[in-house]
Amino acid sequence: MESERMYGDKGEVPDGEYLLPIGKAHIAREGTDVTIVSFNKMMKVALAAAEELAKEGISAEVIDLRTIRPMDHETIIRSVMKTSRIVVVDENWPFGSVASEIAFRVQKDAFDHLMRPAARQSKADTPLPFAPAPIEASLPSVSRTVRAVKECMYLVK
Amino acid sequence: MRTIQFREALNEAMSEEMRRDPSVFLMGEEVAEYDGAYKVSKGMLAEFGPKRLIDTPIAELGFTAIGVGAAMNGLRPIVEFMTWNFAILAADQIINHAAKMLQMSGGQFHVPIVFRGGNGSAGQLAATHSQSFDAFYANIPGLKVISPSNPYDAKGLLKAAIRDN
Repeated sequence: MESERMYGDKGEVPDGEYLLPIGKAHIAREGTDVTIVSFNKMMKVALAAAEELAKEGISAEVIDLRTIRPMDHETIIRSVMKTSRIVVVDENWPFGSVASEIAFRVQKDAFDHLMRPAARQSKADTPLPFAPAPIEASLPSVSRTVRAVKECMYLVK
Repeated sequence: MRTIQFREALNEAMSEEMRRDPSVFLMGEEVAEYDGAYKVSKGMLAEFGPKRLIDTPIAELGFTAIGVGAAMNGLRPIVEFMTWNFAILAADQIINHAAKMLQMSGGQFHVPIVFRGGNGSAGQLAATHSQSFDAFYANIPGLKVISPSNPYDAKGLLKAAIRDN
């Protein structure tokens, strides 16, 4: 699954042939205070939020899922055991989403490590509107992700 | 290292796998003569010819069924959807046939097929063309769902997906 918004994005690739394993997530940024999990174009939101948080001295670990199914729960759980907090940034609707699947597994396998319940930034639970302002309000954003992280850290209510 | 676009990374992945394995082919709306709706398959018709770069009618259920049948008979199709929003029309083939054939045939038929295309919102495209299907298809046993965020991941994972049985 790609994104019409990403076809023009540029990035570095090796000259030679390589394959990446299906079902393995990638730690895109290492951190110690909170785990932010995302994938596809929402990775831009996750990484920008981590950058904003860094300015305020909050160290976010950002995991790029790469594969949704089979999901690399091991990498997520290992990170949560280190940070004790998790925010999932997911463009799916909230019900039965990638975020809710991750939240289930985190509470099942890392319950004793959590300082706060898992949090998520999902798409608003409604068909996406047409006008720009309500679209912006419906999709996960950098500012709302930053706020969700701060809520996890008891810095805002 | 080279710096390339996301679409070029996908193109390289498909082209390399098609050079390596003659059973791999690409089909979908406007993939051949027009170089792909988003120019992902640019230049591939010239290299691989019309037998392996197949322009389909605007009929997702039908051409997805052809892809599933081809995979059951030993080929390795890549089916491009202009976006996953249009693949709703092909959901019966993806969910009931591609995903279940291995189990329902008692292991007789593998379906090594790749479905790919744009997913999620992309500006003011309105409600029916702005949906994310990662979680939706990840709910289906028998499917693997890959959702990369950058050219490096897209190339390496698409090549792995094409080879995956």
